[in-house]
Amino acid sequence: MNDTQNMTLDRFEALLEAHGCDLVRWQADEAAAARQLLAHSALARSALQEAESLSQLLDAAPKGDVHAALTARVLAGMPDGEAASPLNVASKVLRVLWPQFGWLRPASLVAASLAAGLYVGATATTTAASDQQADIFAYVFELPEAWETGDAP
Amino acid sequence: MTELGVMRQLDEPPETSGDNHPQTVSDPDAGLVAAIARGDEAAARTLVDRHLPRIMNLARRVLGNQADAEEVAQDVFLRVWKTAKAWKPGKAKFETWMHRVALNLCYDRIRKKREVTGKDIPDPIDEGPGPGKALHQKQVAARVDEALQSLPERQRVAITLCHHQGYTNIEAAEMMDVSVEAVESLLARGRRQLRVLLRAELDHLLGEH
Repeated sequence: MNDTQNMTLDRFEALLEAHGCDLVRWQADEAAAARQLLAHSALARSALQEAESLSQLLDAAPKGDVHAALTARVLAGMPDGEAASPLNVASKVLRVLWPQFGWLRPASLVAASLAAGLYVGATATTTAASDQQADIFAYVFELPEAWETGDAP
Repeated sequence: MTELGVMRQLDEPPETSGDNHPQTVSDPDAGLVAAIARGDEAAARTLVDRHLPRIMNLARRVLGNQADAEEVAQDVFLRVWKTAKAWKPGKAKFETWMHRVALNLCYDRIRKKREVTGKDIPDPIDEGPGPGKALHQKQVAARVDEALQSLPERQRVAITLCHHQGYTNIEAAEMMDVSVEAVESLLARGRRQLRVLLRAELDHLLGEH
């Protein structure tokens, strides 16, 4: 006969704290001894019920929110062998966010950004509106700060 | 030196050659990691879909807020992309390594926050009013979160790995780089403390039975 065949309440409570209320996670011999104890001990059943309630409460702890923008940012960090240009990064983000636009490649973005640049250039003034456009452009294409400060080559 | 100060650097890819670690483990991510090393974006997306939710849940529960958890998750995957080419399957599962990296990044953030603010418990978030049952659930979630965040970080990590993430005590020990006995001690102390902190909620639940 080994120790686990006659499990004490103290031992049972210690194992509940170390392994939790799911007896499947316990070692088989200890789980068997625990079931024997539970069959005739109201105190053991009460301890198990409290452990199950704590487990239920812990399940309420908030989870992390995985949203599309986060997934896109994570995937955009993957190097793909190409030079890590703002266009490549922007292209990746767009492809992750809108995979149906799989045809969207850097060449398309070059054309789009040229058009955007022409538009911004044609309408650029020193107003707050043009600053805002520039901010949005820099944000979308994740331009380094040097671009915004004019230090970029 | 603090408990964290003596932790060895764990985010290096494990060595698989040599006589010290002759055993190998089956790794369901090995094929994906090899494909990622070749620049396969579809493999990268599969790995992200498979593991980002778990890394986010771990970081959110250990750090107590979404923004920090997102930054940790991004850092973890940046290291994944960098490490894929050097990864040699065999000794440790890639998932275990990812969790080690995530935990070390979490520990770093907790330490830095403690140095700046003198505390590592985030301020409670005002969830605002809400109707009936939803409000009650939010309040319970906030209370549980608050109780978790008030635990010493290693107890919180052990509870999160074993209870929330469903890892065995052995797997958690490997991720935390401590003995299984140490994990069991952390779990026992954590659960004991949570029972005290959540007494009112426990009594409420037990009263319903």
